[in-house]
Amino acid sequence: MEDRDMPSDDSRQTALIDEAAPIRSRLASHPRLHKLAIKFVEQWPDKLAEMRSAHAVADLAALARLAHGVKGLGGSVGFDALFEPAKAVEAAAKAGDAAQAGRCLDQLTALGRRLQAPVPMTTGAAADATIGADR
Amino acid sequence: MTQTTTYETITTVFGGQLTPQRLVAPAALRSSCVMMVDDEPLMTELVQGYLEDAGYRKFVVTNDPRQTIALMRANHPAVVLLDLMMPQMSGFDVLEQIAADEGLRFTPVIVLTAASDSESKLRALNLGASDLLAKPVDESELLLRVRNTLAFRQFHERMVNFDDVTSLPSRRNFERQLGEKLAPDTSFKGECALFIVSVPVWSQVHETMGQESADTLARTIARRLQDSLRAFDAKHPGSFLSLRGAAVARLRGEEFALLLPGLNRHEAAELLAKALGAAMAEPVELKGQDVVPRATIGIALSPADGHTAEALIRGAEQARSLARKTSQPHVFFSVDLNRRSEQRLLQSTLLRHAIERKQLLLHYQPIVDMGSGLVSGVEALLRWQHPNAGLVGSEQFQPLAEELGLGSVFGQWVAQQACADAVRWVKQGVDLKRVAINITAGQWREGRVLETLRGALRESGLPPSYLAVQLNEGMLHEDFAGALKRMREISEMGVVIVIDDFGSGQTSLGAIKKVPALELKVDAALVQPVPSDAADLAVARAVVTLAHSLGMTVVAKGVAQAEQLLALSGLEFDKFQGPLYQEPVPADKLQGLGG
Repeated sequence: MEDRDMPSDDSRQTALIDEAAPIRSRLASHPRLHKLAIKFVEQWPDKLAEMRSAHAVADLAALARLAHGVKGLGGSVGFDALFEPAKAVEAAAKAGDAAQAGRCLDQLTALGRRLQAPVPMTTGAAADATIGADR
Repeated sequence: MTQTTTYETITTVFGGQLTPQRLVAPAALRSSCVMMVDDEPLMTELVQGYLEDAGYRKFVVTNDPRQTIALMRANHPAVVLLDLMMPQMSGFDVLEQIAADEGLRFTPVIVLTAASDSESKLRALNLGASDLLAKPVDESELLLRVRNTLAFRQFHERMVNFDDVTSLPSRRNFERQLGEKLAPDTSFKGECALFIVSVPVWSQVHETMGQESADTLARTIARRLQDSLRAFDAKHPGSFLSLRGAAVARLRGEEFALLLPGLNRHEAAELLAKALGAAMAEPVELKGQDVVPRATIGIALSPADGHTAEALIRGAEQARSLARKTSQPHVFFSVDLNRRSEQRLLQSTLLRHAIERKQLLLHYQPIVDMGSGLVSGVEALLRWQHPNAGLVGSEQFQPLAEELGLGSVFGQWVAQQACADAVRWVKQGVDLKRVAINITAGQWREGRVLETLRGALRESGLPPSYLAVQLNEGMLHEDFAGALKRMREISEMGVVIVIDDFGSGQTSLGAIKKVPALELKVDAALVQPVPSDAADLAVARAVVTLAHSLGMTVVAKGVAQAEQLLALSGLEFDKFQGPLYQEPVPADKLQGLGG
């Protein structure tokens, strides 16, 4: 089974090159599944807040579990750029390194600010738009 | 958020067209039920979306892994996509539960995981996962794995549910269909006819002409059954519900079955049986030879003959067995047939235990020297002290014993017991020249007679010349050269060979002169009319003359009257036995054994 440590996607590359560029979902042009990317962006602040809370109370097991979820889901809904930072949070949390987990979480937070939700579509081709959400 | 959904959707994406850019599900797999278990609703929505795009349309979704087993039992998914890391219950625990459930344990499970460590993956595989799919989920990989898993399952199901030679449903598949058709809530209220069609020649073709010819024959039989059904439906519309609901199956090698929902009339079933019989009577050319796949058919009608698949199949099989035994083209199941069949089963069980329960015994009938009037030997006759029916003659249970494979076991018991009795008589000073035992056709075919005789003589210490074996004339016919070889081996041991019931078969004079027998026993049928029938008298005289010229003695059996004995004596018969002297009796009741 191939490991997915290095998802290859333009958005991830873009994110590395330009730290201010919006991160778009691969599903933005999918007539139905773009909605899942929209939902993900909508839910992102809550997911981030949960991770922050877990970190704040030093519940590293919970933090690892939540980061693991973001690692799998983020890429699946087309935001591949989230994979590596989420993986780093999970690894640090599992290793019991709260400080490192915090630093990785900061990176993830910064990345999350640039998530761009696709424009809702009713019919026809996809469109892009709107800025990322953050709490 | 927890969500559980079970539903079917018809995919209408990209303007109702499945995009050629993605891996499209083969039509045969699209209705397969795909189950998804993931605590993250976005993930299940996503996976379902990809699968819908590919054409799949039946899904069971849960975001609560604790519901997995119940949902699997209710929906029988063809594949399960299972997340590993879930807060309520881990995917590992779910895999353990699936493995522990006999009805679910073979369901393929594809584990979806973002874990990159090989330990988790290996653990999942060891717990029964059939495949792994990494998260983030890649659409192509997801579709490929689901398709491959379903295709393999479909292939396996086809192997199990269909005969690969004829493409007809297999027995298992047929039994399931029959069970469904017998449900009282069907439109025909469980009324149907079941035909078991046996074509014995298939087994002969398989043995003598090989697999290829047997397969060709099986395909021909299948086609004829299907064609006959169609033709019958066209000729007698409304006899059964519909061709669509009817099923033709191959139960095993030579055995086929027809299921006809809505057909419950004896007359219509009889007509169809005749039509099938006629269709099967046409020869099939196999490797240049004409083979006639004549059918033997057993018929059972529901609900009269049974309400369950098992009962109906059993009934039709019983009817088919009777048809075969009685050489009838078709037989209907009946209550009486069932009673006889049950009786046979009971007798089989009792017979299997007859030796250990000491229910077998020997009766003896004296063989009397015609000249001296003295008993020169005895014939041992097997009896069964039946727990309910009393004393039973061997002709009533020996055929069943041989069907049950007990022929040699019983034969061994007879040889041992007769030899032991003979030794006892000799020790008591009885002037007994010989004890004769009968070898049955089944025993002879099994080919262990020599071994049996050697064992009995060795154990008892009886000199071989005191023992005679009676072989039926018919035993010479199947394989004369082989029979001759075995008879010579027996003769070389010193055991006397007697040809029993001579005159009842087709043995030529040329053949009989080669047989190393010392004695001929003449069939009672040939002797009974003596002295009234002049022609029979001539035949009897010829037999005696022939036997004497070959150095054999001749015994008349079944002698019941004094005048009969007088005539036989005039014909120079050497010995006789029969009720005139004494019926077969237990050893201690024997007359004329001096000592």
